[in-house]
Amino acid sequence: MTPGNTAVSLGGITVTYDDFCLDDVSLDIETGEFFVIMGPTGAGKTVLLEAVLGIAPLTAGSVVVAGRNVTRLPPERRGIGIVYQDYALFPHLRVEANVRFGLRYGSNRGSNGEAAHLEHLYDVLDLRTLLHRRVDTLSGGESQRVALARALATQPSIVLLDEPLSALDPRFREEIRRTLRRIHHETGTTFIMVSHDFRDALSLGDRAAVIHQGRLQQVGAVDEIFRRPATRFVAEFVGMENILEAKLLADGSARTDGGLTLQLGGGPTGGGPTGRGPSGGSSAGAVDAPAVGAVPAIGAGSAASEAAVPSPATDGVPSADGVPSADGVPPAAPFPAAEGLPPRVRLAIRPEDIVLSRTPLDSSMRNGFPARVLAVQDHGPAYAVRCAVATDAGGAVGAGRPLQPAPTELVAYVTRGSLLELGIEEGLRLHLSFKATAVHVF
Amino acid sequence: MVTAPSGAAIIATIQEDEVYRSIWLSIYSAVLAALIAVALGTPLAYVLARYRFPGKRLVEAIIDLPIVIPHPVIGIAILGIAGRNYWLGRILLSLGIRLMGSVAGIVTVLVFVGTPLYINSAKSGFEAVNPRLENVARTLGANARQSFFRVSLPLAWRSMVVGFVMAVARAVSEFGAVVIVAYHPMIAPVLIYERYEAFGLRYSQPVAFWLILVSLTLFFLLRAMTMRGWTVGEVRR
Repeated sequence: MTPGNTAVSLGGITVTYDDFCLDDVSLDIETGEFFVIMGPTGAGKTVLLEAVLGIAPLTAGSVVVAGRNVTRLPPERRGIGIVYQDYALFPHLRVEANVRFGLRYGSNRGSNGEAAHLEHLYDVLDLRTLLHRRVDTLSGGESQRVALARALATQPSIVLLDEPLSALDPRFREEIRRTLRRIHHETGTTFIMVSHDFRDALSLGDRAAVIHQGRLQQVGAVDEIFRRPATRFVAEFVGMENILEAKLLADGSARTDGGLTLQLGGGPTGGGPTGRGPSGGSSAGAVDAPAVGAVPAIGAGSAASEAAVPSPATDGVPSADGVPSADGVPPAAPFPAAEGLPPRVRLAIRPEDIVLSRTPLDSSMRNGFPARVLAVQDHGPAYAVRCAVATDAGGAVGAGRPLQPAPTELVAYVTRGSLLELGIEEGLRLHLSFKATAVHVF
Repeated sequence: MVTAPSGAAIIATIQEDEVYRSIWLSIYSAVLAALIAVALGTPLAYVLARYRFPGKRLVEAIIDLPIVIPHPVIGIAILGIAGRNYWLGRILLSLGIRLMGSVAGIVTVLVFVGTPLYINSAKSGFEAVNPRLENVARTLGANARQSFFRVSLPLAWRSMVVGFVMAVARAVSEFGAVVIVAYHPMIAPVLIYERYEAFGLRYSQPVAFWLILVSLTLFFLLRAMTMRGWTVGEVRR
């Protein structure tokens, strides 16, 4: 990465407060990128933004913007804009004065394209009718558009977005996402967005970082993080509900602590979309191809239920089997060739990659287990089916043996249709299968 | 008390040079002291509202001290450090400033008693301004000073005016501390006291009437300014 196309380079950012610290965060964000910083509430995301802005004092580290070290520069000389979660509009100024606030300073003053740029922003963000309104009369979505226009009016090279979607009514979110995508494309400005919601990253981000307790957990393409989390925390954060502790075996399979023997992905790894494929940016409602292509169709009478559900968590993720390895994270596949991995590993299986069926599936899915339904939970668009898995199908435990006293529990997502078709209810015995490649090892 | 003196006595009183001058001195020394409180107290109030630093509690306690200690003690303390026999007093004297029995002395006392009220009010005004507004102003190119004058000040000015009014009110009503530092020139409360001591209630009441009238008029004007409807530029809260 040459300095020319790195928008921001954070080197070992450390911020220490009494009760919190940001610990040695290093990140490179490319020019024009839509980068998402994710983490739960209190992870240090906003502090990281304020460190980039020059508002949070650094204990150590450096901030380099477009090749220029700005670590010691005050916020007004960094050329970075921000849209706060609560918008932080100036309450004593009307909309237009808010947007124009920064135009009188420094290099912004009277620049040539200023008027045209402003007109363009008014159009794109649909602000014309709002210009003379007082800001305390604006709705959340309107306030956000004003805050965005205000940040973009000075034509900063980078705009930071602090949880832009979380405070909004869910039905406005898609609208704001569209607006953000459009503005990002049109202005070419580097966007760095903070979010505690993985869906935002999926629908908007090129690359993302996951931060937890002030530490960077993983950086990479959004798909990469989604499919191949590097740590247990990231795995849970991105909705990998099934995480099993396991031991790698010599034949390339893995034996979980619960006694399951799982075949691991050794399939072809090429051919998948690299980075964010076209489908990666798809909007809500678009259903990607089923995770498991080789399952006999439901019409064939096997009553197999594919778990490809347009759930919020899975929306827009290309689910090709061969997940490309993005830079930064060593590829976990293919197996068996897991050299370098410790004998103790964790296995993670996305709940939407697990297929439930009445009978064992005669398919390419190399992991299949009899299971018993423990609970069914309504997750909105999907149902989470919690199953206890018997270990007899793995071959290690004698066939026909009843469920173990403490069986392994796995969660699968199914649609309501599948739920009814399979007659899934508590106590039902059924089969649970997933591809070897659906097992992520880390 | 206000209605007791006859109209003729009231009219006659204000025509007395001594009364007129003492009320005028009271008002202008109080306003001058409050303006000094604004000049000295605003940066301090802002710092106290925005930053955490070691010793902040101590600073706040010292600021509140003049509110809690008896007023004559304040006068004695001021003379103690700035009287003519003490080092600070000698430095001031060499600069041509005499506190004992002078307007400078009166104003000094009034600054001491009025500033805490101003600082506390202005501080709560600045605390009510979301720091993110200032952060945003900075990212838009304003430096710290510009962000203060374009964002913090327009949003906190009501609290500052309220603090100013309280400082003036406190200064106009001050007696105990002033009487120790400067019996002469006489501010109105000292004149009222002297007339009461020398001639009795009937002679002090008309002076009191005028002091109250002038003070109330000033305060109503200032309070009206801070009410809704009055705006500075586009300021509304």
